[in-house]
Amino acid sequence: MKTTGGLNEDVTGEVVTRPVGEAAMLEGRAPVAGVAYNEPTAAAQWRLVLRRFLRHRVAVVALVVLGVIFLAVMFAGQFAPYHLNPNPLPLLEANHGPSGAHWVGTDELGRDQLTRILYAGRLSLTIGLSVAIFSTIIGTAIGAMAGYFGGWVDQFLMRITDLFLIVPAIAIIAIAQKGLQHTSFPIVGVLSSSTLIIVILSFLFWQTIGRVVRGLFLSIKEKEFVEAARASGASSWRVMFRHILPNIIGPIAVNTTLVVGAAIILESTLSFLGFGVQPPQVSLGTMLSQSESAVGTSTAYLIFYPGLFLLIVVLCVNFVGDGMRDAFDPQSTH
Amino acid sequence: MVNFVVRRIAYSIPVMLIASVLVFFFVHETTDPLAKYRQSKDLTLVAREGLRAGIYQEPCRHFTAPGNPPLPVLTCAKAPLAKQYWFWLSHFARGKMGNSFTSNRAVSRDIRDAFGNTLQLIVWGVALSATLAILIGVYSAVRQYSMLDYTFTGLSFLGLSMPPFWFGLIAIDLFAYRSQRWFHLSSAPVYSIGLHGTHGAGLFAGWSDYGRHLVLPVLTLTVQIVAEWSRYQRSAMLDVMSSDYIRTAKAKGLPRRQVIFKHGLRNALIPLVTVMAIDIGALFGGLIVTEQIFSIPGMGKLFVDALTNGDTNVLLAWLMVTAIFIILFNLLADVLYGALDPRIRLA
Amino acid sequence: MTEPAYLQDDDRRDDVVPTGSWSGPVLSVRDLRVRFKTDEGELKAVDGVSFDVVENQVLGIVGESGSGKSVTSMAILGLLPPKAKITGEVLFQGRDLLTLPEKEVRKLRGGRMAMVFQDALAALNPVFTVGDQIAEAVKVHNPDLSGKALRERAVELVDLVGIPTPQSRVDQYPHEFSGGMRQRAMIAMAIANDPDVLIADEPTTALDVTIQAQVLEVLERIQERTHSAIILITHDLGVVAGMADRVLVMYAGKPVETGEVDQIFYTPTHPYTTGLLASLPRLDRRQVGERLYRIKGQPPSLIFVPSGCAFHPRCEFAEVPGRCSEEVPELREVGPLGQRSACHFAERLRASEQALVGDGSGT
Repeated sequence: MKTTGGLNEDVTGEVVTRPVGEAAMLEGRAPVAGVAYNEPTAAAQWRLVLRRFLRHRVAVVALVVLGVIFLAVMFAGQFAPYHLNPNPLPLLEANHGPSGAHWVGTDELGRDQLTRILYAGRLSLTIGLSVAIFSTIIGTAIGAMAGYFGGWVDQFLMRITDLFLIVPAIAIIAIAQKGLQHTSFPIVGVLSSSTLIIVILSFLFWQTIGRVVRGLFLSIKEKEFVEAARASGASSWRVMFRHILPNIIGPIAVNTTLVVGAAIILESTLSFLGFGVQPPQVSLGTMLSQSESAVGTSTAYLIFYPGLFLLIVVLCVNFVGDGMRDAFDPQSTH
Repeated sequence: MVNFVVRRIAYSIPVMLIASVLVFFFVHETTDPLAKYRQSKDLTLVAREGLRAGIYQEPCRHFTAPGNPPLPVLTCAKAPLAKQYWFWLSHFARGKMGNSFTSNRAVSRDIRDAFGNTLQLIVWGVALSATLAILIGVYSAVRQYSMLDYTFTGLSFLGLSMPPFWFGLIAIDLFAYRSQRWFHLSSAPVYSIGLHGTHGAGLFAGWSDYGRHLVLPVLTLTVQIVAEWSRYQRSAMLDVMSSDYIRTAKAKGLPRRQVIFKHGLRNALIPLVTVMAIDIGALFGGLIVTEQIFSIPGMGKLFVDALTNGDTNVLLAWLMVTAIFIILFNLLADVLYGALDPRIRLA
Repeated sequence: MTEPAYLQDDDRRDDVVPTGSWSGPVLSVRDLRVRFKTDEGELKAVDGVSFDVVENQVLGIVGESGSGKSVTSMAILGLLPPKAKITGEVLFQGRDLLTLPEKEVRKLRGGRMAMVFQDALAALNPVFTVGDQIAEAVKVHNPDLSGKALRERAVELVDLVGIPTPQSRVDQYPHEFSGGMRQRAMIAMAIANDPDVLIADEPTTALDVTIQAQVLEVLERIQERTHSAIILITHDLGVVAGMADRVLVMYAGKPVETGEVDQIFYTPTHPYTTGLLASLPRLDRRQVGERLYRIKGQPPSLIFVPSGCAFHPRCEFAEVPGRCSEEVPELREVGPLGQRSACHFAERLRASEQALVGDGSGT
């Protein structure tokens, strides 16, 4: 059985009780039953979610690691051992492998890789987070309207997503990026390549979130508490935002988290191909693109470490997302 | 069933058309289909080729450009974009996709060759991935929370979190280069460039060569796909195994193996097969990065080259062809679902 | 129009392997306890259930959701997950199923002991035809039968449970059957190998009342032919009244009362039983303005079971604080023919009941 996830609906404080279901017993996950209790308030429910999240050691560790990384890259200026663009270039130190002075080595121009990874990581993370936030805002808004009102908004959403489903995402993004870079549109031409990528990727990912939100609204729309709210005179907007939305924050948050990871990977892939972030900006993808020729040579660490950094970040993001999914919806089989 | 297929195709056509319009305008905004000819600085050539491609239209006029010696020049009016679109579409529908700038050959031929190479990757990759994913998924579900289950889960997370091209590069570094040094081999055990090398004499050498070229790209491809499919299979299997009819099967006294495979897997495969079909459809345009790293002349590489060179004809045809395949495979997914699940009446 | 096959007296019992020299009850459950470990503590799903089932007899097990009745039946057939801790004895013709190796139990499952489940739509595999699934049940226990023979047997069974046009029905999928037909198909599957014990777990709960009657009738006819013992698990007292010979009432995993069906209905000796009976809406005893009775409170947690008698928080007659909240009542004889009750004040209840009822006639 798939539940829609999310917190329990009744915030009116009604007495609600749950007898133990035998099926639940057989699974060994019977909730504590029988003692009549007040439906917990919203604050208490958040605490419950938090408690369930904290029980996932892996997710918690991942969150801590992410926190550390986030701080390190956001304050790259403080943490980086060297300058990003040293002048003059320390060519004497070129192509040194990992050592005490340079923890992850130097490139052919002698630049410290750890420094570059930190700055590149900052850009990649910024892009990932921005895409996730924007696509969530847009996707939730449109998906909510589509799911709740139906009608032309719904048709619009479905047709657009259909359109974008039939062409490979990377191809479209690559063309878009190339096209918009040197375009006559005055505003767009001025954007930095990373901002452009954020815009383009958000345009791709809002559909994913939009479809999810639409589905959630469709299913929740029919529940009794929504009818009750409407019967008590709440306007549609109020119903949507005060009643339905708080209940689906869980799945939305999980999806947003997953988008962060997907966006980071997608950006790095695009940049690797040359269709993403453009020089002189540095992202992890561009670093890998530049070091591609190091395959099989003694400087292969130039490929290994930036990618490893990416891997760790996305892995942690995915673990956190998984932990969140469990925290909001503990009964989903997984 | 036939009705369903026909209706779905009928529905897809307007979507394709709209997509083709958008694609056409977009590609034409960002590339210049006559760039190659402009390079020659021969305006007459440009005009003639433009006429042929439907970009220019009558009226044309001759005039003489000043210079020594004076040049006869042909200029024509630019056709409206809509007319250009129609020209292109009507030709495309008949299989005439124009010529490629980069290769100077018919685009249809380029695509056919590229497609063949990509197809090889897909076939081997999917075969391997599907087998592994089903085995891992079933095992993980049946032995949930076992050590191996946690291991597989961890590996899938790894596979899903890793940039696929990075894995490919590392794999090349390790298996094609370092392994040679470590094991003191005379040549690389596996190759990282292209799909075919110098064929040795005989069937075995040919297959061995082919295999050694295939291993790494297929592995790279497999890693991403297996991660996703095995998780999906595990989840589907868990759902199925907690169903009532599994309990009934056990209550009938069926041996465990039969319960898992005949009753469980058969049902769990239904959603998985549809997901697989959709993913395979997407693969035709989705191997861009893998082909890039391994220099495989497939659809992905074709796209990258075309985009880099602004090769309009190739880009347009490429997008349409991949879209057609995605639609076809999505349709296949629905048909399969209806075929495998008797509860679904494809109406 | 000929009678359906299952109504024709067709002495099939001949070719069934006789139950041998066993003369006692077909199934004997002794002090069965099933416990699960959960995050909040140990969950006692079944806490000391004992009963006998004799051939040609229907034992009705009654209780609310969470009373442990389904878990009991699953424990008997060995269908509980490995993490369930089961103690006690389940004697099938003298052999303790709980100590038998899985292979042996599997031979009995679906063969000499079979189970009918509640929701036939969910309990039947949607991708196989009904005939296939019935044939499968036969084949597992008769591996030498040919495909043709299997199909014939499937058709025969489908006919036996009163489904018309069995030849064509056999090739249809579960979702193409109506609810009542599906349940009959499940019964056909269960009786495929002439079981000695048939456990029906809420077989009619998901059905309309009229269909319920039909399905129960099928069970009755089958018992008439095969003389198998039937355990009928339900929360519906009406079903029990119609079909059961003996009744076991369960609450919070424990047996609270057991006896002949008439005893339970006319002279119940446990407050829970009287509560259940009182909450049945009656057509014959309507007083204007009278509210429907319901037992106050909710079923208890099986992890944090109330002290003493598990029913005491909801019992109208409970002595709290006192014996009821401190001492766990034993299931003891309180009446003839083995009527047993787990209430400290069972005798007092019985006496007051008899005063109300008189000599047992009329209500």
